[in-house]
Amino acid sequence: MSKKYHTTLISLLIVAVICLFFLDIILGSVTIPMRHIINILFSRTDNKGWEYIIMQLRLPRALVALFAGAGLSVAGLMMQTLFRNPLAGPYVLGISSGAGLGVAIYTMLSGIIGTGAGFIISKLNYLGQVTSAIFGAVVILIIVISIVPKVKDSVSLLIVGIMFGSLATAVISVLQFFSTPQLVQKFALWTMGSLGDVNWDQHMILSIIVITGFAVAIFLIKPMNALLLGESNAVTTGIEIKKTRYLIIISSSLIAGGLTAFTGPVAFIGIAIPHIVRMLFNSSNHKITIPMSAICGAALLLICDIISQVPGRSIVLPINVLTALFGAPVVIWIIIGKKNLRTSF
Amino acid sequence: MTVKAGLKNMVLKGVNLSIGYKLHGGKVLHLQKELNMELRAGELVCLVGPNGSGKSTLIRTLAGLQKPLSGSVILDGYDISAMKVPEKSQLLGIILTERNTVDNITVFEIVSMGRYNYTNWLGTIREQDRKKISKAIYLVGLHGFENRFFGSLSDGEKQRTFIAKTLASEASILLLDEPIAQLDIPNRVEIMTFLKKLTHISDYSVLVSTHELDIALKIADKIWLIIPGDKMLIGTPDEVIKSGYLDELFGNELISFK
Repeated sequence: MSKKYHTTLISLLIVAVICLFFLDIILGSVTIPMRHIINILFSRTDNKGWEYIIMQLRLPRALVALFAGAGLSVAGLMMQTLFRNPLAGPYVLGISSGAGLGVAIYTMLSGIIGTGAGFIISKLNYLGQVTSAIFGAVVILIIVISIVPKVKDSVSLLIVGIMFGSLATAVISVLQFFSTPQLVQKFALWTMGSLGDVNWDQHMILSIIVITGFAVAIFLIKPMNALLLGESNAVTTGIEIKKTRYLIIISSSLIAGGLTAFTGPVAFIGIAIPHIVRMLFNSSNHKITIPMSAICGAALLLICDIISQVPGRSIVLPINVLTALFGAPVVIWIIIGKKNLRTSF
Repeated sequence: MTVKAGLKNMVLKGVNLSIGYKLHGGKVLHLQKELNMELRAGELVCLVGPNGSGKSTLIRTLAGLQKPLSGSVILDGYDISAMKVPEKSQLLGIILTERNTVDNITVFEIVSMGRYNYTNWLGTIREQDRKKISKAIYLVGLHGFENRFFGSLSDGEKQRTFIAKTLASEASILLLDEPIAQLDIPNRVEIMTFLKKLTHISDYSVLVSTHELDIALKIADKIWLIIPGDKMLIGTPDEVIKSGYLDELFGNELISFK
């Protein structure tokens, strides 16, 4: 595949992301004239209502879509490289299940205490969810990291991660069983994911977490390329496998855990995008796949977000529904169309 | 004959090596005890022995990938267990039996991994790296294959790609575990002859473990024959044949080494 093809593709994708980002701001349940949107974004306007919609709702939402799409794809790519498994994704270590468990415990407990302190709880609702999700994610992360030195190969770690996921799901089921229908519904809503709940202050925290994860990922490009030779070949090449494993886990957990805390779990993006990128560029070189996964992931999640808001209508579909609707066919298509999937990651 | 400066005295030594594995419950599986051996510059050594006698374990131990149960491995005068991974991989080129490499990576990309310890944090290939990579690809006879995908290569070409990678790393001691096991006969001979050539043209030390006794006896400067439960016999192919151990270990009514 020629260099020219790569350059053209990269430029096209970057332009696509920028266009989609603005499209995501322009389209929504309330139609705001183009002229006014530009005024609001670049100066001021007298229409306070529109200004609020753009600056406090749509802009942060589009930014979250951008970050989440990029972040989950990169985290998924790192997991696929570490585990050399096409089904690995950002949630495979159980970190996000930990976040889910944290939210479940918080939601159900708030239900028990909530009758007395309803007002405070509703006020602290979202922030409480975020805090408990981060707490849950960190607990699982610490457990996973403490297990790393005890396992010989990365595949064992993958199995441990999946077991943590099942364990967390089981505990969540128990909590749901003893809970009220209203709270179960509330938790179910969280699991469907939402990009629109993040305000500017929380955006700061989210950005710091995700950007830190990204920075580490970029420093991992070289050792991750060596991992493509197979784990023992990578070791004889000169990578320090334990250090690399730790860093991959920490970086992808920061991204996946941090995002899950603010948006809930967002399905499929993290698994599907790395495959799409490897197919588009016919390469597994992380110098290409890391930045391009970020760009393609952001583009796909922005598309999903635009559709989920059903422009012109006042309903908003859960983001998870859209990503699965998009993601599942894509994964099937890749598996059927690409016969060497097994060895291309 | 060209001799690279500094390579001449490079040796890999095993001193009183006991190799094996620590099992669960504190038990120890001893494969071999008290082995002493030395791999000198300019020497092609074939490591032979029956299945399960510890050939791979010995290679992994000498490569510093696995700790010896006792004794020590000395590389270039230093205990290998005290060396860092990057230092080690600049001196030792190791090719293991693992075949878990992705298909859509090019020959050039794999060979350029040999420069891993010399390039910057992003792995940028500089002009001097490019020269070494091209030279290594040329040496193993894969010139023109630079942009071919690994998945499209034959088994012999795959093996040569990995040999080129270790050549690009400037390691002067090569340890290869069963490098010709997967290959057809012409490729087996070709790879072994190539390894032999390496020891002659630039004083590489090469250790190859193999099941191919006939090729080993023809081509090796020295044979390390592992005799299970006993010791290791070290000698020239002639000495090893005369010892009579080959018949005892590998012979049957159809094959005789006398």
